[in-house]
Amino acid sequence: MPSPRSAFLWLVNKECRELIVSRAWWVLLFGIGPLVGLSFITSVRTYAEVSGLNGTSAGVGEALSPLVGVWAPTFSACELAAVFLLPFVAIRLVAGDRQSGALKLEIQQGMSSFARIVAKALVLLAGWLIAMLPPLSAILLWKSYGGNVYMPELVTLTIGHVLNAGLTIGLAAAMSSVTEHPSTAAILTLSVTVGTWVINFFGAVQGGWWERASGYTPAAMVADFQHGLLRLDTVLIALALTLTGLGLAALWMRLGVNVSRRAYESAGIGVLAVASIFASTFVNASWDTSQARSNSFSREDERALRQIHAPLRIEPHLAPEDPRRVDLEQHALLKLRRVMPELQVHYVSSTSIGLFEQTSQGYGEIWYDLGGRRTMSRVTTAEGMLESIYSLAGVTPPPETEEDIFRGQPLAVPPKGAGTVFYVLWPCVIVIGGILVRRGFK
Amino acid sequence: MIHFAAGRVVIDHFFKRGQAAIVHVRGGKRDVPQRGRSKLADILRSLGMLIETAVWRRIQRYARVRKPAARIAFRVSIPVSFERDCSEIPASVTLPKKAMLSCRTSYCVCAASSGADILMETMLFEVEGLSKRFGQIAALEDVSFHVRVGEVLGLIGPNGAGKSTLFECLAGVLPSDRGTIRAADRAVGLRERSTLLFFVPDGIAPWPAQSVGWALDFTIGFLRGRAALRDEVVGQLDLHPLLHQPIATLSKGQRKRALLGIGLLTSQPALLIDEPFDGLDLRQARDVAAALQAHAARGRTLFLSIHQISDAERFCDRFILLSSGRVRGEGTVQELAALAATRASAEVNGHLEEVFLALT
Repeated sequence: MPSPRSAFLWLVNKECRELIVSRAWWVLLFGIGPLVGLSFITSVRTYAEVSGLNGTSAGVGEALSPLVGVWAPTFSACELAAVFLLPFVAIRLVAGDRQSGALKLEIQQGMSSFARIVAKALVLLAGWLIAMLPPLSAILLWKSYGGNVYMPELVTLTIGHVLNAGLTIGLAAAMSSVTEHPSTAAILTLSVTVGTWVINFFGAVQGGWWERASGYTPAAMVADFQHGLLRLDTVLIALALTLTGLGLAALWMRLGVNVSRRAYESAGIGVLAVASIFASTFVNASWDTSQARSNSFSREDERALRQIHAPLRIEPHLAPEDPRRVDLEQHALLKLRRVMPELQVHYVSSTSIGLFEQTSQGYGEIWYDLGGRRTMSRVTTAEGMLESIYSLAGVTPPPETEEDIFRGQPLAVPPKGAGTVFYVLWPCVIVIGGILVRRGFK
Repeated sequence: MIHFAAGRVVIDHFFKRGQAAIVHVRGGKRDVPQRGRSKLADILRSLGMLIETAVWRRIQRYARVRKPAARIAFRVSIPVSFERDCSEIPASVTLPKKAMLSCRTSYCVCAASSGADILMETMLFEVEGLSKRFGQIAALEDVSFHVRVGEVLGLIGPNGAGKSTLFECLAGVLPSDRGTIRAADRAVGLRERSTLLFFVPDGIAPWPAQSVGWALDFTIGFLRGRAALRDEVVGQLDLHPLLHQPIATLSKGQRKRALLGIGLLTSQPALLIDEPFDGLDLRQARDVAAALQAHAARGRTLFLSIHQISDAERFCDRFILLSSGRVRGEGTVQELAALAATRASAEVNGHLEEVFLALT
């Protein structure tokens, strides 16, 4: 006799069972262990060498941040899995109902299609969290080696990968509902992913709006989280995109509604999504959760910069593909924007690569305009930029204190036992667990 | 004094406080609506009616979750099929307006006694001008008919006549271009269909990796099916040996029986089944027919799409003849024979096959 519970819980139960009997999910679980293992073992070895293993000289500073040296590459296996494996799991779960005819029975229940897709998304997210066990177990291994674990940056990194998975789920769900066949949905999902890579490419080459848009692609979003930067606008946009995907999936699940009406409603959701994404880009709140404070100036510098109220405009004469522009953007402007949200940056260049502009007069100059006072510098480092701003503002640079300098967390140990865990233990557990659990659920 | 011979009791309004209802009575010898107010439980008791626990729980749940001040549209449609003096229904019960509840559903509850013949006199829903096109092809054109409470209605027509399309449009799993479904004198929207009818499609294998037993439990839990009927349905359709078998591994006939089990467990007043005997051998077909008849005898309306005319003639009370997306006739075999005779200006014998050929 079935137990009494709400229809939604029954649906969640059904989706759980469908996930558990799904081969795609077990393949994802099977594959992610060795992927994570490879990344973890390689990065721990490199980290050990940088820390002075086998007589090498120890590095300093950010190079010895576990976030950058170990966790970003280890968790990048999740990014691969989210792009190439998770979509198939999501498509299997969403499109399976239509393929088997179960959708025709289930929609007669009268439950809203959004509630139905939310049930699927929740189960998929739970499935993804289980798939994230290997990188989380890598943390335990690292801890057992005597490595330093700084939880805030790991939490941020995990949030980033969960949001990335949410985006994949939303996208795959939408494609599965819109299209008639799972293979078409898979092609479209991967096409959209490739499309975001194209945006990244154009952003790097063209600059301007392309560059701005590329800052919100899943790859760029994950990159922010990999540096321990938790940006509210990125989180909001990721959530908006995920909800848009789920909303579209819910709309197209309603088989009894005319296609034209579904198309109009989809357009409405699209407009709503664009509006919410546009609004989110104006949100400036962000938190640097990295132990090395790699996304922030020193506290004294931040305090000094907050005293400057005049409008600041920076005009770098650098082409989009010029490495100095990348350096300036990632190591200086990113930190400055967090302290001075009203900062205006206007890049000037007539080519995309800048190679043939080198001889042009003014190329490579960075002009600072603070309340009408101007100065020029060619330095692209954070220190050079701060020096220019302080000189314009007439502020004495604050002295550097010992506590602001991140000395790193060196650990010169080889990744003992990691190979056994990720290449042997995990695959065996998945294979045996898969057989037993699938048999038990039938 | 209200004297019920047949018809149904429609509870229009339902109140939280005292669980009373305004009862709108239809049917009876004069078929004139009457009104009376009383406590719902008293009314049902006085009418000698059965209301299933699951339905009663739903009513109570509505009563808890809805805002007391909200206005109504709660409707419980109960077929009655017995003769009884209902003079004991009190004239009225006064309740404060703010105690009213807002609920909107429709439900059919079997009466205490049998009497399918009488039940059939009451209309459950009617279809008006239903049309559906697939590009240039008109799958359904201006389809209109009505379905009576407790009848076994056969939808017959050649392959490609639009039978499955009609069922899918009725169940809301396929959009129709035009047309409405009306029940209790009002149009039934897409979202309300789930309270009126349930459709069992042909040729599907839902939840292929799950067992038949789980699918039945899911039907009871998710599709608000009737738990009390589970064992009975399992027995009627001989599903015992299949309960632990995944649906994907079932043969065509076994899958059909599992699907019928799902359909019979659902609680909607009308059950639409696409080709209920397709894929069944002779013995299974007879068992299924007996099971369907048992459920129909309790007042459940069955609307069956059957392409084997001999099966349909043996099993159904009335028929809708569908050909090229159009309704060519509606009624009993005798009524259809008379219609065919009128159109053909010649006598048509009383066999459905002859009638079908004459009308299509």
